[in-house]
Amino acid sequence: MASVRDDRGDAEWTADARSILLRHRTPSTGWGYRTGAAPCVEPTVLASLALRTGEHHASDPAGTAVRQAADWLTAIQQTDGSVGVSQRLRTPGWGTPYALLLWKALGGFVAEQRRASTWLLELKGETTPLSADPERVVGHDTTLVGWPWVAETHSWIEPTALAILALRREGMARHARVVEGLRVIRDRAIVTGGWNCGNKAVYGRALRPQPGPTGLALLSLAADRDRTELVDRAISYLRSHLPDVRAAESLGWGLLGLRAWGEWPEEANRWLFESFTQVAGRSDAAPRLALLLLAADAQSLEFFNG
Amino acid sequence: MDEQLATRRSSDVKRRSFLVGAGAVVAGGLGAKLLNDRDERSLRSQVFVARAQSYTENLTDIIERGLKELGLGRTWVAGKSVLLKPNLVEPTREAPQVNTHPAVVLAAAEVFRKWDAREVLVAEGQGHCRDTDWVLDQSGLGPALQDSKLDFVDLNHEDVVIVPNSMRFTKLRQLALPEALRRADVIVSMPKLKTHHWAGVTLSMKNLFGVMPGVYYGWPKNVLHHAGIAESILDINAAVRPHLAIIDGIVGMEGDGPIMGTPKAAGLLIMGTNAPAVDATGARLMGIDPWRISYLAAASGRLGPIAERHIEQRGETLKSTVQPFTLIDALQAALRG
Repeated sequence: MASVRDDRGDAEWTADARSILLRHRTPSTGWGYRTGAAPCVEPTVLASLALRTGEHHASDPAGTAVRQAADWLTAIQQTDGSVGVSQRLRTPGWGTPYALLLWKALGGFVAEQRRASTWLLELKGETTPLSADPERVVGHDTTLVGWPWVAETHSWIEPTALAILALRREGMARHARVVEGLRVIRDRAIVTGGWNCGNKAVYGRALRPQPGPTGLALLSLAADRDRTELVDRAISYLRSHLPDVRAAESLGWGLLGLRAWGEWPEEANRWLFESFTQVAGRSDAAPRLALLLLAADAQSLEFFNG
Repeated sequence: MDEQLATRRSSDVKRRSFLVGAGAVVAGGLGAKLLNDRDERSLRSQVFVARAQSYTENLTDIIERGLKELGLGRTWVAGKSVLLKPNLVEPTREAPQVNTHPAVVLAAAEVFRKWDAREVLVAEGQGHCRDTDWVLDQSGLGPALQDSKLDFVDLNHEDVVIVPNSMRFTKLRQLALPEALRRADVIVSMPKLKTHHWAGVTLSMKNLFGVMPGVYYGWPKNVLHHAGIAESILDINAAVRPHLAIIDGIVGMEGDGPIMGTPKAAGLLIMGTNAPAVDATGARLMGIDPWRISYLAAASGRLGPIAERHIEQRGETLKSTVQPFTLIDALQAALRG
């Protein structure tokens, strides 16, 4: 693979990835999880942010596509400010922080951002008192309030991290919800390093970390620049595991998390290229290519941490 | 997919406490219904149990023989779309007891292809990890499907259809199901033979948590946990009605299942067309009384039979194949009595 890599520099595969992304787009709206599927908020935002990486101009096709995507998000924003999964699936509203990130990156959506962030601040993960679990079967602090995937359920790592990133971009870094969200992230760290979807231990046993949530959690903690042991352990986990990861989503978030802390494995560009070759021809390539492009460009951290 | 439930509302706590503390199966709102309805006298089903000591055995032959024993053959699947639903839970290579082994999935696919199925798809919507590619890679299923030219459907991110929740064991008025299920003529649930620290066992019925789309229910399908695990299992099975179940019990999981338990080399494949009957047999083979599993007891008479006298066991006998699985302390008294 290395010899192939030598023949195709970063500029070439990223240009290819951008072209493929544009081909996967549903005209006038955005991207679905696969070609031919209904456009959804998450792949639309990831693809749009990815197209904002590298050299771009407002007048090129990518610029038009991104602007139309942002407009499409405003069209499907609910009256309560939330943004659902897609035009048809108006709930759950876990797409809201994604929409905020894109609107912020483009500018010109102040009213939409205000409504969305107000809704997001109202969305709270359900809690349970510690007294409800006297045997401490569940290893984390269930009284902390973060963000759930779906209203009226418990908080999880990925929606909490995304909400923190989006709200901080809205200038709410010191908001009590963001501060408590960061406590959720720190509390859920697995003792051996890293995060999974949100349970660090059950029945006293540490669960297994995963690269994607670990990258996203690191990204959400990065603005504070407080490099604790917890952060170091997560970075070590990613550094030791990412060499074996070519799954685009895990690799993309994992590398973004490392980048946010000034870490960039020497072989990372090759891993990205190898992952690109695996997904480029697939019908479900769009969100995967988007994450690879975002991870490949150091400037993309601005989309998440400003 | 399976769950690692992080929080339990007070009702959830009561439910599990009752299960554990009372040594009974009654879970939450299921209690009253169970007292009034255990009539499965008119229901009968067959379950086939085969020995298979390793994944290198000719599993295709074993599955084909089992299905024929159950009266299934070429005419049952010829020209049809078959959807295989394995149990993929977490991305781990170190713990192969977590996920359905690729060899079992491939063997089933080979049988259906041989019997002229129009298409055979493998589909999953795993709950513990959003990255489907990573789960497929680490479980070994991804490369296996690629080699066998089998398509995979990511049920977490499929377009969904909304259907009424006819069973209403949960309070959910409707269920969101992936469009792919509607396109399939034959749905095959292919779980692992595992204990489950909250549900007791996770077999073909619990495996259907993994058809529920993550984009709608979140990860790890937390809406369903809040609605009640046992109740959700019943509602989902009533809506999906799988046509066949094939349990991978060659290496199962005992102890702290569904993800942190230890391997149990049970050397079994269990199959049948009625999920409660198959799961009840699976539980018995693990040394667990199925009447003490709340959702199995509640399925009795509604979705199938679970009484031993109503299940005709083909292939190996129960007596010759039963091998108690270790249970966590909290479940020991409740499930074994």
